Amino acid sequence: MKRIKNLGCLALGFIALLIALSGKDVSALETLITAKEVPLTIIVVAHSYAPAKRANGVQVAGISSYDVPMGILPPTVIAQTTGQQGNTPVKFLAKPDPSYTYLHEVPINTTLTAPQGATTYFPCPFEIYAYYTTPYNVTDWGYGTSTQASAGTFPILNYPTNSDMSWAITAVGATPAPGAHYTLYADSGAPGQTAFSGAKSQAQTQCLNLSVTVPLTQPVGTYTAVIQYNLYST
Amino acid sequence: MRRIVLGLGLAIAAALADGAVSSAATGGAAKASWKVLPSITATVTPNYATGYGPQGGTGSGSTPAAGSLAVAGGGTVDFGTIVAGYQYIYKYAAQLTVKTNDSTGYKVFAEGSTDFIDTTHATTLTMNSVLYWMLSSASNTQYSAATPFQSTTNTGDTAYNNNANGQGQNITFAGGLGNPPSSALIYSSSVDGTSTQGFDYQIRVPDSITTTDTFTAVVVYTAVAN
Repeated sequence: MKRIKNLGCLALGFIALLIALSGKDVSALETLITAKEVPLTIIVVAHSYAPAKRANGVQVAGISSYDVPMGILPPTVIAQTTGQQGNTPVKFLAKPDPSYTYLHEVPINTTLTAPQGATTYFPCPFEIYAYYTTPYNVTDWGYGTSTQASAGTFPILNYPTNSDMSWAITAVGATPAPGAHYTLYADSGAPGQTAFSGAKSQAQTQCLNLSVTVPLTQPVGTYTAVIQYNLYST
Repeated sequence: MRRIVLGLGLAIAAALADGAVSSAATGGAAKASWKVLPSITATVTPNYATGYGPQGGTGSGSTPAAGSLAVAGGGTVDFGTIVAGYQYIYKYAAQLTVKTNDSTGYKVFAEGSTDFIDTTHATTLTMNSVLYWMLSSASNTQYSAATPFQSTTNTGDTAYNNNANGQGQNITFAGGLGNPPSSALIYSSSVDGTSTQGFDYQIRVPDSITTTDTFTAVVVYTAVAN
């Protein structure tokens, strides 16, 4: 009876070990090869798409108002722009990424415009290329997210609040089937979630299709989402 | 000589007498009106505050440092050496000072006079996928929300004050000056007077760069009245 009890304890311990190994901390058994951050710009616009109006309902005049005639009462004087330009030269020396061979982003259109109060789908704003000499996993999570912070920033936010951005993978050139499942971006830091896997020496490029759900209360403006992709050798 | 002096004296006396009669006949006040010529001036100062220069590149294996063309209160927003595929911010990149006597205020637009061009002209990087702007703040990082600059759809003034790559440092807008697209709006004010605003830049160079090369572009700011 005592032996049976001991065997039971051993079995329970073994099951607990399996659960632990198959759980979140899989990365402990893997080797991180490289990581890349994918910044996305999200421009939130008013839900109605209505042109900007003044409080009295008069549409704001555009730049063409410069031809307002002068001298009509009440006097309207418009400053002229002649010579009112300044400039800033910008320069950089770009070096190739040494880990480009293993993992890189292929940006397609990473500026996403989405209206308030709606879910907008973006077919393949970017692609992820991966390759390694052993079997591998590519994981992702929202950069800078935390289980400690209370809110986080739109659209990835922080755990336990669900992200307002999700993803679905397809082959390059394909689009998700109608009703396809989109996975919410992980927003509690590492280890995140597995985006896709590859066999030994398998080079592949996957298309990331995105959806962005903008709460109606989200102020109009420009936001950034940074997704970190990680290549693990398994 | 005496005749000339006498004639002058008579003329003055006649003028005084005429004025006295006129004043006594009409009275009242004179009304004068004039228009103040509106004006607007704008200046842009690169590297405008202590601490200017690049930060970021986390995970790239190198620490960013401003290039030699970056000088305090002027010069170029020179990111120095960066690694493709990583994100960088350039703190205190440019400060805009606008002065106007127009009580309706002003708008400021900013565009690249071209896309980024490399020194060999073998590669072009699109402005709106590489360079971004945000209002300066001490808390800004390479991950902060930022808006891409657009390259102009008008004409970079290549006949004036070009840089080494022939990129114009002014923009001539279709239909005359003062016609930038609304998408290039970066700042506005609804009052007259003098105001200043600083900007940080972000740079995101795509991984596809396969050779080491230098890229340049010019961001042109245009201030116009509301």
